[in-house]
Amino acid sequence: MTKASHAALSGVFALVVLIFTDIQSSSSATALYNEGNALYRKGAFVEAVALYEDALSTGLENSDVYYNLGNAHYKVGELGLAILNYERALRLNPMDADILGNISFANGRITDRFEEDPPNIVTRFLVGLYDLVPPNGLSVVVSVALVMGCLGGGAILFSGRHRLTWGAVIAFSVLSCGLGATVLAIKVADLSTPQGIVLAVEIVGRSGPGSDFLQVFMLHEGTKIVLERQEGAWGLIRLPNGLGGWVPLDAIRMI
Amino acid sequence: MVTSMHRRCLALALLLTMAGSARALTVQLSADRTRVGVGDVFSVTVAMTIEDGADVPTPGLHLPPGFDLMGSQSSTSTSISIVNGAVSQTRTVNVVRTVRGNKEGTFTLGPAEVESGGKKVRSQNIRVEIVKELSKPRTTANSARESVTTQREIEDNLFLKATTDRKSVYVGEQLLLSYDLYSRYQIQNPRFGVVPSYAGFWVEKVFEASRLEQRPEVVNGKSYNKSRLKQMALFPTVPGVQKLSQMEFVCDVPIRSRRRSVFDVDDFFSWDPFRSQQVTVRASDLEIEARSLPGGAPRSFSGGVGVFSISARAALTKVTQGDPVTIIVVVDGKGNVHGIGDPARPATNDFKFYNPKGIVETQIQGTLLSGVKTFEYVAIPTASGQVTLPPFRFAYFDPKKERYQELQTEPILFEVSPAEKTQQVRLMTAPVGSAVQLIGEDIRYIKADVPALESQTNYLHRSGLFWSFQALPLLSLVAAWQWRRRQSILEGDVGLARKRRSRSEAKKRLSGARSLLESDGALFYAEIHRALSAFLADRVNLDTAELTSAQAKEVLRAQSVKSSTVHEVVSVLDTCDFARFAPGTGGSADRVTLLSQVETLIDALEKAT
Repeated sequence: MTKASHAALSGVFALVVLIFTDIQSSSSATALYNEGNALYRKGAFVEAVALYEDALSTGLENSDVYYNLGNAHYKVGELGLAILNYERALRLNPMDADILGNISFANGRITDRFEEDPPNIVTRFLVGLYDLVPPNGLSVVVSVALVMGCLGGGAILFSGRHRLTWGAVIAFSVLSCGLGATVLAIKVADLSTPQGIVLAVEIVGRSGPGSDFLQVFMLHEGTKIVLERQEGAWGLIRLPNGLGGWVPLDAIRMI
Repeated sequence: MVTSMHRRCLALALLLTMAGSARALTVQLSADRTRVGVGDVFSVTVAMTIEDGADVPTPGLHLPPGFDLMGSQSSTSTSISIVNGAVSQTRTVNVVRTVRGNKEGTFTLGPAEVESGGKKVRSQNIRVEIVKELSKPRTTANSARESVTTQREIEDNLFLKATTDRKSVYVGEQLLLSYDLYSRYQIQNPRFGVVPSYAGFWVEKVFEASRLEQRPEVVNGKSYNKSRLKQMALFPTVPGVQKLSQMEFVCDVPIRSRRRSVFDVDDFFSWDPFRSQQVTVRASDLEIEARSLPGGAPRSFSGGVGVFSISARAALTKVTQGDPVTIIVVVDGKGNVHGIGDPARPATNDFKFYNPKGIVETQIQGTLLSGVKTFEYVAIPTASGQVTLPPFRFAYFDPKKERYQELQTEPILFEVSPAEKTQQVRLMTAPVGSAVQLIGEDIRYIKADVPALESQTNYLHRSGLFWSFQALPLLSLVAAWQWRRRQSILEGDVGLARKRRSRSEAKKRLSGARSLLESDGALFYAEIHRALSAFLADRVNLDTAELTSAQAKEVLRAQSVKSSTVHEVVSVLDTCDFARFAPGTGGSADRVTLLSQVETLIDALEKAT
């Protein structure tokens, strides 16, 4: 008994410390962010970039900062960095209309094009639903479903009445819990997909990790790729159309 | 039209020129005829020899006033000549200009001017005589050269005749123009030559021969094969005397010929006594009098000449006020359907009309053009209730009766339901708008300042604490299940239940005994006795509430309890029995000793049984 309470106490303490440092970093990051915004409004985009980056270097992850940083990069003509930061913002806030709008706007200005069929209405609906629920929401769903299921089990154990109703509650809980956990797992996998953006104006994809290998394609700034493997300073990337090739890692940056 | 004779002359001229200076640019001007009728079309050829590889220049040709340029075409040929071992290559470009002379007199055509490499080269001039009328029907044989078949002979045996069904018509009235070919030859390769544009007339084709169908016909005592070539319906569009310039027809006529000279290249190679000769026949010009329509035309007259009928209908007659309805007016009949204008709209304030769309469909009935012109009016009822659309009026001129006829359609009755108020307002006040146009595109503006940024990566699923908390409900469920199971087991097994409860029961009795420690000796001993014997009974699940010392001894022996313990139990029970029934025995100190002795004894028994 005493051991458990001790553990709980130390946990709470750790949480408090965490929140406290969080607030500390948050307040300085907020100041930098607001300052960056002021510079942006004045048209000092290069200086704004520096401040936004300082705000992010405090360890704070916030989609607004990434979004504004992307805008500042766009304004100074760094299309690749703009898209990179929009994508980072989108990971944190997948439903934001501004982020989506600017990603599509910036992607309209890049050189590389990939033929993609527009998704049908069902796919769009499912993707929308998927984006709508944040990971924490899914965690809460799993947690609540677990508690509900256990309550149902307890009720059947002790009262023995309304067995059918409680059975339904348990079934629903198990289903929600399973679904929530699955979607959460997919989301976590999604978030950890090693995606990157091409930052170099033009890079050559090769058939192997080295400049002696055959050229297989050309890529241009702003194109989104998936990094599959690394070998030394070279990475095997996969394009949206399935094409793969090795490029120098310094030409791309991960989202 | 360039005849073969002309081509031959030209070739000779070129040859001579080339002999003079093979490489220099030369220009020659020639005409296919130098004596032509007024309005006749003839060809003027500018022949240029240029060095191979040089750009083809465009020749400039000076035409005196009174000549019209009708068309132009060019052809190119390349020749290689070897003179004293030197090879030179020359290109000859013939630009053929089709020209029409409109005035009588003798004219000088040319010179033709060609500029090449900054150098201007001029051709010689040619004189052309334009005469009022050539003898008709005129045949243009391709021969200035002598032939067995003279031009006169051809004219007698092959001619094209143009006839009209009348000489004088009203403006807009149909005139039927027919072309017939009269021939005494076996003609080959028949084809149409120049087809005039019939200025001043609206033309509809009635008939065109795809092959010659010959019928014998006697003209001036001679038998001819007559072929109907073409028939056209003409509608004069302007009044006055109109000249119909005529069509040309080209065919090959087999003509007996004899060898003329060794220089005649064709004859040199072909001794065939029968040769075909290309002949162009042209019909005589006709003059047609187009009479103006008489005055006094009704106001609803819109140009229709012929015989017509008119009808009108509405696409639907139950409409809403303010909603457009299509009204179809059909003019049907024989005559110049194309020339009909919109029928006069009814004078009414109950409808607002828009300009109609007219669709014409024509067909030939016999030799008469007939057709249907459909006018689609879009009308918007402005009144509501039972609204009558008055008749459309349509007047036409009947050339047979030589007077105007006026027709009118049946009135159309509409049931107009009143428009909703809002709609009416919208209809009347809606400004003319246009879709908003995108002028420029830029990224969306930055996010606003915030009082405090919050971290968005505090993911619960990354926290171990969160997941350990998830174990809480599960663990409590498991615990609850365990407890419940134990409960149910206890409820099912009385012996076990008694055994479990035995100690707490004994403790209860002992504490009861403790309270009696000072007051009542008999009750104290009874309580002690009961606590111990009931405890034993519970432990071994005996029905009896209490045990005698003998029974206890027996039970404990059966449980193989240590004999010292058995002995102690028996002595305690005996002591209690004795004390219960012999009051006054035992002081309070004894009682305390007994109490603690029983407590230790119960502990020992609990372990033993």
